[in-house]
Amino acid sequence: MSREKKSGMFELNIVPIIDCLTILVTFMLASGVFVSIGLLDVGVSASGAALASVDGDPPIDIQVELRPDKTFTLKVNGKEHREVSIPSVEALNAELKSVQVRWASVKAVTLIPNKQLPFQVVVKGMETIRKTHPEVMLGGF
Amino acid sequence: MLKKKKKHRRKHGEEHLQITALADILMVVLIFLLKSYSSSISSVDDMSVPPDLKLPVTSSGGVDKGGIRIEVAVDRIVLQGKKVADLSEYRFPASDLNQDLSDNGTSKTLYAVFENEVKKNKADTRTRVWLVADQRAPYATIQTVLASAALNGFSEFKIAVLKEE
Repeated sequence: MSREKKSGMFELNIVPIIDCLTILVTFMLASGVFVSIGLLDVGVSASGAALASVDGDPPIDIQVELRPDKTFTLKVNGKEHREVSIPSVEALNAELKSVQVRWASVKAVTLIPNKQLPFQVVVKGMETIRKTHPEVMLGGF
Repeated sequence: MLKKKKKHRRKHGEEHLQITALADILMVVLIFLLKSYSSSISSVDDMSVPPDLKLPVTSSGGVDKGGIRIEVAVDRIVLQGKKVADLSEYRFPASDLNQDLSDNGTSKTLYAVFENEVKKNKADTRTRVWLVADQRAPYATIQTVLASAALNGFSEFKIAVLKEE
């Protein structure tokens, strides 16, 4: 009889358990999906279709045109009339912020991208607009 | 008693590595991975993306479930997992396009597919349409897809995006 058994002490052999756990953890890490997919809300500003909901008649209508060279044109119609050419995303953001300060009740903006632009550029444009105006509608139909 | 045992082991050249702490850490990591794995499985059922399709990347975007899912890949349109139309380099064949938009048109095939979806499944047009489109697809194609759905009464659209970390 061994000394440990004599004294009533024994050690559990956990080496195989560790082996199994290590293999399981490695498998999980290898097969895991680490990308997170999100969903962006978008309305469609199309004639003949139901438009994205807007509360009552908005005092102004904001349109942002996205040109092939990735610059923008901001068009404001209604109680305010403006048409501004905007060279960058940062400038668009600043311009939309100033519009939002004057017309806080207007939440919707129609984005009209050039038809040849890749979808990634359109989504980036939407993301910029969403920083100031949560309802983005795609137009140009 | 333990000191005596240790001395005895050292004398005889026996050294036992203390792996209990390691086992504890591995167990915690495993539980964490199992938890995140099971939650990702449920979303992958709905949101798996074909390997040839690159989603647009943004830093915003929430998570939602339920709705009609439409994929726009380089050579095909897939609705609810079933290929419904062919594309050539992300573009609809000219013969498939109606002339009902300003300088593009709705797709005859897609229009019929959405119409069928409304009739057959009695789909509520308040049902969301998820657009899982490749980031390289031109806006003209996206517009055709959206217009084909919108003209059948669908008005709520969601765009699948990859969230930047």
